Amino acid sequence: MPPTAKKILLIEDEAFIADIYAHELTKAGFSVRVARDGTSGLQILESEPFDMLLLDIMLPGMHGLEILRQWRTKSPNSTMPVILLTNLGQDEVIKEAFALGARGYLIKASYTPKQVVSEVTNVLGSNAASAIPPANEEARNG
Amino acid sequence: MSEDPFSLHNLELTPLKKTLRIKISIIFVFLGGLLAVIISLINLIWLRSEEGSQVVSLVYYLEAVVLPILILSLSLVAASVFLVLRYLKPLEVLYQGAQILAKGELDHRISIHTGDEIEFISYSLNSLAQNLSENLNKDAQSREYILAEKNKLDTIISSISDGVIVLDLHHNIVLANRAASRITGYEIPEMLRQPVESLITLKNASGQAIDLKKCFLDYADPAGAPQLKIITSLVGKNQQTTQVKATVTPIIENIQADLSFIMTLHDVTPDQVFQQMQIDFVSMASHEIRTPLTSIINYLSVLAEDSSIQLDSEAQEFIKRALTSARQLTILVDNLLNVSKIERNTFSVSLNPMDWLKNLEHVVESSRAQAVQKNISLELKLPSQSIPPVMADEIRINEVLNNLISNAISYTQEGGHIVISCKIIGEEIVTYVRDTGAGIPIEAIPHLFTKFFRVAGSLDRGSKGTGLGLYISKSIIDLHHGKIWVDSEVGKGSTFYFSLPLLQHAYQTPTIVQLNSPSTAQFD
Repeated sequence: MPPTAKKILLIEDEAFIADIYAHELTKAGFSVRVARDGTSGLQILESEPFDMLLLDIMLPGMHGLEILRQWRTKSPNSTMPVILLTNLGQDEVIKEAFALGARGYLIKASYTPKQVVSEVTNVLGSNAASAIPPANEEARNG
Repeated sequence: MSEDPFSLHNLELTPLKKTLRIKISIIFVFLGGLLAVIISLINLIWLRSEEGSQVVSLVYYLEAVVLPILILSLSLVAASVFLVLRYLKPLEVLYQGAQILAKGELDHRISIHTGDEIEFISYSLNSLAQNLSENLNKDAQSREYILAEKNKLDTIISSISDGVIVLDLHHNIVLANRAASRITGYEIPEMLRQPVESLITLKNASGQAIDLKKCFLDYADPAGAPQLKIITSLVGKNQQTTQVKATVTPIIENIQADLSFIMTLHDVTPDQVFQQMQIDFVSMASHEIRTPLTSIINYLSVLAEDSSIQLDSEAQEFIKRALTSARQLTILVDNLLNVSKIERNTFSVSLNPMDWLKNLEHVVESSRAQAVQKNISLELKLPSQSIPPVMADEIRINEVLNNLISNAISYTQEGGHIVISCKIIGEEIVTYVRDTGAGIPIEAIPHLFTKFFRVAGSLDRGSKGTGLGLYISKSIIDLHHGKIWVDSEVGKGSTFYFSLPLLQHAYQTPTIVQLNSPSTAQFD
């Protein structure tokens, strides 16, 4: 049984940007789920396990830092790495993100998709097996 | 005239008309006299009967009868006076002591040591005074404590960043904090004692007003109502609308305190990041510009790097140029943001001790690729002496270094040389970037560190400079309490110098330095 790919949740409202990141991450062997607004992003985050969260800040519905805050309150013991992927660069925002336990903070405009994939790979390791037990896989195949 | 329930009422004691002392003395004198008269009469009768009907001589009578009796009576009177002095004096002390205590001087203690009931009374009065004064102190302390706790609570509630509104049993607002005031648009005094439904409306996603009464306010026992959590549009004063996550919680133990519900309002408007983070127009604009710029860079770089896409060399060159331009735009946006901050006096650096030599090595290495591309030698000459820590903001000072090195590479021809070095002069460390490039004409030097000034003669097509780099670098160096200057000769090259204070001559603790005190003027 091939190891299941690591699951990444990308919450990004700009279609072009979401598409290219998802495209490159999938090419690198990750399984990517995209949410295009804050509220549904948080819902998905709370309903399924992921190996990593890539989070924009300026989102409709609920902004990224609020999502992170809610996530920390709901699942304080979660070790899932969170990387902020945003074009906001204010010191206060960065400080707040790290105070909320973010693993990294990348300014989108300064990173090519290849560099983003490489950062993600550094944190997650490449196509090694996902930390999430493949219960669904067995149910589907069984 | 305020009734202070804690002060002793001053008892009005009527002045005694006759003291006990006088009363008892009178009694004894009277008794003594009475005794004298009775005994005299008895004697007279006895003498008369003894001698028959002989008339007793008056002198004999006086000598034998009246005189001894008189002496006896006077002795009795003396005895009574003595008794009064001894037994009634303590009573006087007791009386005076009671007067002092009644006036409110509870520290007074009555001192009587007669060993009888009067001493016991004095002891009881002293105990009473002691207990009373202790209770009064405790009450005063309790009052101070309660006041302090109330102030603490008020401060805490008003500082909570979410809106807090507390309702009494009639659904009138009894407490609202500053955040609630901001969200609803009403001043706090405007909200107090008003029914909550008359001030605000909560609307659901389809724009319909939520019936607050039905949801929770109409429960007979507020404690039986469910907790309500909804994301809603809150419509406040003058139709001011805010997206909030409202939580309405019933207050248990509410009857005694006349409280029913507590509402918390958490602002979740999408642009609330701006309000919270006080992000201004320029920051917002630069964020907006970066969004499409990101797409441009992303798609172009994927095209350039994707080996599965077959592109001829011309197409590859086209894409490379588009990418370069896009990257320049990014740098320009960053620079504009910095210049705006500088002009609005909100640009700041946070100085910390740095290992300067290590930092220079790191920066020079990261610029090596750029230099190698133009076949320019990039050399770092480290001084032999050890250098104490330098006070600098690592990110900002490296922006300066990168700017100077980048300029040197731009303005130096292929095969040229760039040397970077530093040395201690007095209380500062002076770092320089020396190139063998085109040099700067003398008339341009005064304008070098101003905005948008670019020297003609940059040797790269599509020069990377925006004309802002040196202006920003100078601002950064100013904030570091340093100086930046240049030495240049056309045709020979340029050397850019900047100085930074060494740790032993600067503040020992990390400092945050701003150009001026922050101004509150909006960017327009």
